[in-house]
Amino acid sequence: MSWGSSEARVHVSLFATLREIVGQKTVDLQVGPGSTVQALAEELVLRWPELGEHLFDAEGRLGRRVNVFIDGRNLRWLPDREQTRLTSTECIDLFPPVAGG
Amino acid sequence: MDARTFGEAVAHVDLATGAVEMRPAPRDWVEKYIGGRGLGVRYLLENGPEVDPLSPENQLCFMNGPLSGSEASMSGRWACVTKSPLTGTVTDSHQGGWTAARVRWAGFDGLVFDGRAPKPVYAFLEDGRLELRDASAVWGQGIHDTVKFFQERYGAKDLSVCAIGPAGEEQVRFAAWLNEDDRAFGRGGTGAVAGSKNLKAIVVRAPRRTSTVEDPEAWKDARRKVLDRIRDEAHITSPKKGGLSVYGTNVLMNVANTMGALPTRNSQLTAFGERAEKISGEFVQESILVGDPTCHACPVACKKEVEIEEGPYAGLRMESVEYEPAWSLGANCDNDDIASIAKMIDQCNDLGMDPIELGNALSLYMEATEKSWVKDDGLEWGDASAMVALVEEIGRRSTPLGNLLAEGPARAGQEIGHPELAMAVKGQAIPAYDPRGLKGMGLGYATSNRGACHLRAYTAGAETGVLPIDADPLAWQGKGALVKAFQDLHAFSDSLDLCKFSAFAETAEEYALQYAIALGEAFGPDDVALTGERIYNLERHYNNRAGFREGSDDLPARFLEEPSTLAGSKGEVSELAPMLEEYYRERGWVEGVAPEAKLRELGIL
Ligand code: SF4
Repeated sequence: MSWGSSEARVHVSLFATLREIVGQKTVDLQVGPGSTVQALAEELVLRWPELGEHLFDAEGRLGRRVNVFIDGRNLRWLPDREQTRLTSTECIDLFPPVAGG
Repeated sequence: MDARTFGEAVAHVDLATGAVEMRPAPRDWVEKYIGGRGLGVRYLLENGPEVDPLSPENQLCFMNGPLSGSEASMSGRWACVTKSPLTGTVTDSHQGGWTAARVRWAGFDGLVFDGRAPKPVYAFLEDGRLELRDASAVWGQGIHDTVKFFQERYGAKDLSVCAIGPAGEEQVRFAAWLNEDDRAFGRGGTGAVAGSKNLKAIVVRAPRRTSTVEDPEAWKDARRKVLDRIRDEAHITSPKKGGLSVYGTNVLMNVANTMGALPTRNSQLTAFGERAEKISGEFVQESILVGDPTCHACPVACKKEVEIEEGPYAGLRMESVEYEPAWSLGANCDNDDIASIAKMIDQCNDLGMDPIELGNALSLYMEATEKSWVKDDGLEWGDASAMVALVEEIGRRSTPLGNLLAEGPARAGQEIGHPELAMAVKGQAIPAYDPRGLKGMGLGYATSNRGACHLRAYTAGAETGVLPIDADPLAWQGKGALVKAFQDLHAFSDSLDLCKFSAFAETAEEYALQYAIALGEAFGPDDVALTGERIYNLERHYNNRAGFREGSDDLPARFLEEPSTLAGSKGEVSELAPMLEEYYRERGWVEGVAPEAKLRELGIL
């Protein structure tokens, strides 16, 4: 994953109940150099505190049950997990654990 | 109604003579195979796996489970089990609604139909009696009119109608049964078997009855525990809160799209891009949703009723826009017009057809058109109005093209000389998960005993990160054990018979608890796994005897050879061979065959 020194503008899409909390489908965020997914999630919660209980566990880590996809890959399968650094080219998709069949 | 005596009230109907006889299921069958799917398959095995599916010799079984129609949550289900005219395997399909419960309340644990009626009939069930009655007034009618006809004749109170439509009568190979107008025994062509037997409907009138159990307090506690789990599962099943309850099954559209697990344009692609949003559960909820119907004893209410207000389908009110048909008639056919999708689902509900198979037949013909392999004008990608017209032709086999596609994509692909265009396993088309983006689902399709199916081993729950099981969707390692575990668990819940979605809130522990209390006997989570394994092997044994042997567990070459180019699965193919090896090792099978030693170990032989 590449990382430049300038700020990145990250495109975040929200789905299902998370979308209802935020009241919009997408959010574009400016993040600082070297920002991680964890920092991005914290930024989202600053703006929409109600998201907190959906995104974080009791220890303040990104929760086991929220599904954060970076370019379609769930960060739980990425080597750095929530410490994965962001670049401006990435699409972040946030899902509650949705299921059907 | 008593789970302890479950299996004693099975009606055997000889359609040729009209004779009806009540005969209990052999006790050891019930002990080993429970009910629903497992017990139905045991009847089918006894009938012989060599029969022609559309001949009078095939058997059509409707089996309740010991919990069907009880107060247990999500227990409004029963199984239809027969030899499939689509695949030649044994098949079972399950429907929700209230028919299962009413059949139980009317005093029946199961119905077994043999032979062929000389003229169209329906079975009328009430108060422990089953009679065959003349169905000529409704033969040729769609399911919606058939339901209305019987409601006018018998009154709507306490009445359920489960019927086939014109597609079943015409023996469309993927014809379905529907009850309550829109809850289907969808897959495998059970409706075509009914058509071949001149059996139009099962009509049942029965007021609600409560279960009797040895320990009512324990039964109440167990049910309360399950209900709490359903309510506590805040993200999925919790009523009016969880994703399944709020958006229905179609809440999956966007996540499958993100992961590159949404087969698109006949699986040439693995994602539908931004257009997936237009056919998603979120979009339906904000634009056309008008109601959230439910089934017997279910607080989740995942059914989604919609109303179309504008355009060519204005005035249509129907249920239910589910993930599977929204995909099969949507992304799979390059169609992002949700109104036309609702229209086609309703056509399927009325004609009595499986929309998954239908969508795959349409997409096959669209790809053949794209490649200039058709002799007529063909069918263009996403041409919704042409699709709607063709659905009718298929359901009634009224044109040469309709007749061709009514055979299902596997046979249609053969017929046009391009079997590789059929996205099917053992003759049954794939559902809405691309095996390149969800490796376990691909293995599940390949090893499903009824042909490609998402419900036999619903590993998607783990692979999408919903269930607390670590299962990287793109890793093939470990999928053998995962697929086996889910196949066995679901074989058990399908035999109880509880809704598949119970597995989002319940585990083997809750299944065992409810079954043990209802039965008044000890039964634990290990028994669930063992019984599930026995049922899965029973089906495999049937299929082995029906001619499915080495090489039958396969996937369309596209998933093995054409890497995904989009979204989260970019660059991936399905590593089926090593997954199969792992899976057979877990199962103790030899190249897809359940050996005699395994069958003896499980008490099948
Ligand atoms: S979860 Fe849905 S399909 Fe299952 S019983 Fe409830 S309403 Fe019916």
